[in-house]
Amino acid sequence: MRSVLVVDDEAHIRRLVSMQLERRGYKVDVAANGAEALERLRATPYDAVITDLSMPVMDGQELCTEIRSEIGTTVPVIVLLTSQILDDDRAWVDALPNAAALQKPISFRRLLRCLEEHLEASEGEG
Amino acid sequence: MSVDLKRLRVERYEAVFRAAAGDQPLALGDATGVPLWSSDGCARSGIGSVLEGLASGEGAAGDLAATHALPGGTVAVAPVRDGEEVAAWLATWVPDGRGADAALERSSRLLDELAHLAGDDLRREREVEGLADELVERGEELHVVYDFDRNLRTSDDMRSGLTGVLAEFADSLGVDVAAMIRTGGHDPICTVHPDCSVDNMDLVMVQLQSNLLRFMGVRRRALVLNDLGDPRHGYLFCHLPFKVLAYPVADDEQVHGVLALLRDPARRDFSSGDQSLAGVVAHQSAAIFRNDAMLAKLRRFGEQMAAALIEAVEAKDPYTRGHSERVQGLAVHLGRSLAMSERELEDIYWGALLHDIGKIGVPDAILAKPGRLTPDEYHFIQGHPERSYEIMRHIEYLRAGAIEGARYHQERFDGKGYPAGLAGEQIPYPARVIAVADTYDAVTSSRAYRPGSSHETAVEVLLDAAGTQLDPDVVSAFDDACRDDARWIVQLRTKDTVS
Repeated sequence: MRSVLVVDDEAHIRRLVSMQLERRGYKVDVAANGAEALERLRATPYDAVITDLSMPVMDGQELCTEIRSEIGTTVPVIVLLTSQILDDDRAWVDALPNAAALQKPISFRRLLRCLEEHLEASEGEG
Repeated sequence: MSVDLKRLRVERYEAVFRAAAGDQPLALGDATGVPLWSSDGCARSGIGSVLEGLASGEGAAGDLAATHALPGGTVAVAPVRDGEEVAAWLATWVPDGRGADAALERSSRLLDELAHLAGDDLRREREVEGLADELVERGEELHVVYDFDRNLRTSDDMRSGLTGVLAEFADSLGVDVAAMIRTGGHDPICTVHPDCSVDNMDLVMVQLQSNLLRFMGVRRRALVLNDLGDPRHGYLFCHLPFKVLAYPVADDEQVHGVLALLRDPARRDFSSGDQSLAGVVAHQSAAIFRNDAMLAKLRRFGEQMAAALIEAVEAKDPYTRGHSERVQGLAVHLGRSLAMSERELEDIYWGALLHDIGKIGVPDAILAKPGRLTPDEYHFIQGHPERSYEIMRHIEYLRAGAIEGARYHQERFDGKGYPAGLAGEQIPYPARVIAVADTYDAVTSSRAYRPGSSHETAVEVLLDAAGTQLDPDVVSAFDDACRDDARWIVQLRTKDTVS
């Protein structure tokens, strides 16, 4: 069973995302900010991370940087961007290996497809 | 939809149960009696078999609570109801011995109470999941709207925008063919999924364009045909090996067309979610078509106004009948051969059509005079491009290219023309193109004092004038265009009335 860490400071988003992912057979853990997520990632390997961008304590961008330097490049990271995607906003995500940016409100059709594609890519490499 | 029983907070029930009933096990079985969880790992024999017995209809199914005596103890069970349905069972085991009866009674009451709580939890979970699903659906719809908006905003024209919309929509929905079939003889817009091999796409389109379009025009609501054996499938199509979701593209006033989605029978059925997403695309498209129709109407109005003006000019001289429209056709064709952009062609279109509009101020007697003009009369004629400019410059819609095209169409490449005496590339490009078309049509048209010349003569006249009166590059492009295919010019020449 593939495991996913969902990081968002808003409880209802965490719940919504985990509910949808669990229903499709993923094992889901949640964290409320980047720092919490890093702690979990250090303790347990996850197949993928889905994170919000703006969060207190440690935001999504910082979390991504930490993941790439500490955890490795093969873990797919999907960044959820709040409201409108500005091109500047997503440029840094596109520059990350095996990462993608998606616009909020979430389209689960897209999120799931994106997640699967990136998981396949990382399994191909790994 | 049944809620996942794993969402039940069994540990909490157990804590409550344990606080009240002491060290007794608690077990949860699903509706069919399969033990899902227990505080002691389902080790207590008997609970499982009692649960299974209950579910298969033996024992006390339907009772609020029941007890079942077994060797060494008693099993108490309580159904967890989700509405009328038994969704799960809670059970405990009370060993025989001193005080067993009291313990059993207490346990049964507790179990009953917990089962109620669990039932409430299940209902609440189902509500939450329902809300979440609703939210997810709305999220999808919102993204369809985003996509629609982005595609139309970033594409040059409606058709390519809608093609982009359909391609993305088909991809995200997992359909093989997405087609926008329009009423009023417009070409359909269609995208086919790359993985899909349709034997004969033309045949598919013909089928969609005939019965389906008519049927949906009457039906005016979504049609889902997941079963190829559905008689309606047979009525509407003669051979269409696809599941069909059709949605009318209509507003209050009219039906603009049908959005048709086709899915291979091996793929999943069209769902109500698919239907509501198709509805979003259909509604957005209807708005786009309505706007497009209004724009076309306005454009026609503009063209008809222009035609009326031109008719007023050309009525002054029967020999120039149809001249403006022919010059327009020639100049636009010539502009295309010169690889002008759509924007420049639009300037040519209007500049050529209106180039002689200034003749409205020239007395009829001069315009239609069969003999030689006096210097005064000639001066009058020479004022017409400037008057065309005076009239056109008040029309905000016309860009500089169109207005200059008309204003300077009588300039000569060698600088000896009028009104400004511009030379070579000083003369705006549209004007140099219009000048060639204008000269060609003047030579081939009959006048009061001479018959029209042949096409060959006219081309010779143009070639002779290249470099003096006319831009040699434009003349040579005209010559090439005639050599490549002369049919277009024949069609233009036979058209002598302003429609």
